[in-house]
Formats: sequence, structure tokens, C-alpha cells
Amino acid sequence: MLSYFARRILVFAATLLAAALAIFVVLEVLPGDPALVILGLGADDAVLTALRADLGLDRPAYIRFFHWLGDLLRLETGVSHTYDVPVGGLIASGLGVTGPLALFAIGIALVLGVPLGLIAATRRNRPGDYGVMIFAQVGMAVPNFWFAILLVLLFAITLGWLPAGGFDGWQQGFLPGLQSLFLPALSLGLPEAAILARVTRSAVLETLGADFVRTARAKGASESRILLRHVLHAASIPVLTIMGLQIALLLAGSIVVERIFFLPGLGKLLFQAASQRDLVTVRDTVMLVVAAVIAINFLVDALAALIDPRPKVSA
Amino acid sequence: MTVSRNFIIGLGLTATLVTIAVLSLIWTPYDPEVIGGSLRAGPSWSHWLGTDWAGRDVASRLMTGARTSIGVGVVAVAIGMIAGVGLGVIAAAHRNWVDDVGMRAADVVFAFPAIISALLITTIFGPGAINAIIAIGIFNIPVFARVSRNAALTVWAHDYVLAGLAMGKGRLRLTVDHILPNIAPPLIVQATIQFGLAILAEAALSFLGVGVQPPAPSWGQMLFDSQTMMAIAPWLAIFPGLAIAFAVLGFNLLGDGLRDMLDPRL
Repeated sequence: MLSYFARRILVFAATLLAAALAIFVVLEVLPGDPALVILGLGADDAVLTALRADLGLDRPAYIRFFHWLGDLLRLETGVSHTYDVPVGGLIASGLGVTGPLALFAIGIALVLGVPLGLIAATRRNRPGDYGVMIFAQVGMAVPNFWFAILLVLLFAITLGWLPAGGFDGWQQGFLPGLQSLFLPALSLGLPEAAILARVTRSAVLETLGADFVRTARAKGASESRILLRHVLHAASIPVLTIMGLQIALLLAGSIVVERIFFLPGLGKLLFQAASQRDLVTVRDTVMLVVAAVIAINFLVDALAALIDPRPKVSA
Repeated sequence: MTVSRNFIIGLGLTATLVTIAVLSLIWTPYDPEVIGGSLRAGPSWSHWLGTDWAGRDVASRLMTGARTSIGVGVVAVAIGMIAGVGLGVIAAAHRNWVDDVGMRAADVVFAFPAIISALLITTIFGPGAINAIIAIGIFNIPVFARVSRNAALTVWAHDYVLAGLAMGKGRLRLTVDHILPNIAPPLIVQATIQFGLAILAEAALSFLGVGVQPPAPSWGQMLFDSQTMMAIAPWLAIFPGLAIAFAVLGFNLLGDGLRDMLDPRL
């Protein structure tokens, strides 16, 4: 067990390193002269030279890469070219919106998706099952940004119940903050719920046919006890794994949804930085998002190994 | 082999989509790029789905937009399939360091959703359809690499493949003769599903303005344009979204149906 986790941690570190290298190569090696990318072709020579010195471009790329890695390990970020402040502060304020938004969306997906999947599996090939499967197919096909627009159209423009966008910050109070995040979280969470419902359904169906379920039934355990105590436990592994994989898409989706609802989150930061060619901000923000995706999947794998010790023998 | 209901509905939707895209090459009700006429007119007999902020016919733009979606999907899936399947079957054939490095590299690429890669590429090269296709294609590579490696490994375990190896056939030869034909079914299913995802990703990127550039019509960009006029012209926000949803639904159902038919275990 210990050597299994030691190896997983090693792979985790190597994956992070490779991701950092990929980001660095795309942003700082491929373009040749990053200073020229930031300032554009018509830039003044003196300004270019100053920026090159500022970015340390007189040093070879591999030195800059290791320098950046050192900064990352010390949790230090570069200085944004457009805002002239450390990227860390920008990321922290964006994370204050995107973090709660993602958690809210995952919460909605879990609360809706898992029970729906359970309902479908226990009513296989009956109306309840068909209803859930239709919801799942529609939920997977509807783009989250279109769903977001429809929600605004209904709840903000037609009914006027909720704000169409904007976020005044958490200092206005927890409930108003939650209210501004409700529609964005719903538009991200509902498509995820559709996927979770599907995965839960097939995982539960597979487990319901397992020998230990038959044994539990033979021992006279009640149907609800079998479902909650045995089946859900075993089915939680595929559900967890898919949730881990969906985190990446959720964070990517928040870039689009934040734009629709005018939320000052990480997505907005990354999108603006990319349009303004703010290389340092793009580099550090993408690194954070990608590292979060890798870390969450690492944690999910570790959790799955703890729930079910079998996979680690073969892995 | 029984034909599944999902397959029939999926085939119907995707065939309609392809027909509309092909039809748009020779005929659309109006020129999709000509501006003028009545602006933001609601659906009527002369303009079935209304007109947009520049007076362009929405139905004609949706028809040409179908071409964009399909074009991006085909190229992005082709990139992912060629590179991913190549990597996957080589990894399965050798099971040495190539396998280890290749699969770990696939994990790394998998941590970059298409939107993130597209924004990375846009930062350096500016926005454009080609960049969007490359970003979506790159995201498809690890998906096909994993599916083809796993499928190929089960084929390699068969005795007749090992017999071929014992008779002195090369691993490349065996891969071409036996592995590739046998892993085709799961790859076709995966390609169908990735096609739907590619349409979604292209729409998202064009919505953000880093995909297909105007004046070429794309569904995502039509949705973005509709946002500022939602209160007065809601149909502009409805029809492009419906088009995306039906296209993706079609490919998802087609993939599910194909899986039901090709892989009876599930």
C-alpha cells in the first residue's frame, strides 16, 4: 500500500513538471521573442530591450524555466504586464469567485445526479428510468453557455427574480454572493448532473448484479439497506473517477460562463490576459488551473484506492 | 444484431445535419453574409427563423454554420485519431518505455481542456479557426490513445496474435494485419462521441471569440451576438443553441447506439 502511494506521488510530481514544461514551451519558446508578442510588431526598440531585460530574456530558456519552477515552489508569481501587479493577487481574487462557483456547481451536480442515477437504476426500463435517461441525454447535449443564456432569459429578463450577472464580492454578505452565483452554478452544474446520473446508473446496475449483493439479499437485508450500504459504496468509485475527470471540463466551462454573467473569476482573468497577450498572467493562471486538475485527479485515485484496495495490486 | 433505437434517432439527426451542411453549399434561402433589410425581424414567412442585428437571415446562417461545425469536427477528430491511435497501438505493441512515456504524456495533455489550450495558443498566435481546430484536436489525442491502447492490449492477448509473433511476423505487421481491424469498433464509437464534443468545443471557442472569426458564420458566435439583444430578440438566442444541442445529441445517440450494437456486453 505504501509503495503504491509513493509511486503515485512520484507520477503526480512528474505530471506536474511535464505540464509546466508544456506551458513554458508554448508561451516562452515557441514564439521566439516573448517581448515582441507582448508589445506587438510596431514596438519601440528601447521599450523592447527594457521588457526583455525585465523578463530576463537575456538568459537561456532552460535557466528561465528552472527559475520559474523555483518561483512556483516558493508560491511566488510573476508580475502582470497589463496590470503591473503580482499575478498572485489577481489569481487570489479570481479564485475567490471561481472556487465557490465550482464547489456550488459540483454540489448541484452531486445532489441531482447521484439520486437520479439511483432512481433510474432501481427502475430499469420503466418510465422513471426513461425519464432520467432522457434528462441525461439532453443535459449532455445542451452547451452550458446556451443553458446559461436561457436561464438569464427566464429568471433575469422575463421573471426578474435573479440578477442577470455581476458579482459585488463576498463583503456584501454570504447570501447576496450566493444569489449572484446561483444561475452560473446551475448552468455549470446541471450538465454535470446529467453525466453523473448516467455514470451512477450504470455503476449501480453493474453492482446490483454482483455476488455480494445476492448474498446480502439472501441474508435478508432490506432493499434500502442493500442499496445505501453496499451498492452505493461499491458504485462510488466509478462515480468519483468520472467526477475527477469532469473537474477539468468544469473549470474550462467556468471561463465561458463567467463571461456570460460578468463574474470577476479566474476565467475572466485568463480570458482577458490571453486577449491582451499578458504572457506572465496566462502562464501562471494556466499553471494553477492545470495543477488543480492534476491534483484533484491524484486525490480521486488515492481515495478510490482507499475505498477499494484491489486496483493497487495490479497497478 | 438488433438495431438500437438510439442508433436510429442518432442517425436521423446526424444525417439531417450533414444534408443541411451539404445543401448550404448550393442553396440557402438568402446569402448568409449579406446585410441590410429589416433588422432583428421575428420569424416570418419570408425569414423562417427571423433576421439578426445586421438584417442577415438566421436560417441561412445556421445552414452555413452547420458546415463550419462539421468541418471543425472532422479535422479535430482526424488529428486526435491519427496521432492518438498511432501512439496507442505502438504503446500496446511494445509495452516498454514507449508505453510508459506515451501514456504519462497522454495524462499530461488530458489535464489541458480544449478551451485552455486554445487560450494558450491564442495568446501567442492570435484567435482563429485553425487554432481552435488544433486545440480541440490535441485534446482528442489522449482520448484515442487510451481507447486504442486498451483495446489493442486485449487483442494482443489472443493466441493467434502470439502465434504470429512466434512465426516471426513483426510487431508492426501484426498491428496492421490484426490489431487495427479488431480495434476498429470501439474507435468508431469513440470517434462519434468525440465528434459531438468537438462541435460543443468549437461552439464554446467561437462564443468566446477565439474560434471561427466573423463574417464566417458559426453557431457559437451567433449565440454570443444574441446576448446583448436577448430582451428584444430572444429567438436569436434560441435557434443557434437548438442547432448545437440537436447536433451534439445526434452524435451522442449515434455513438451510444453503435456501442449497443457493436459491444453487446453492456
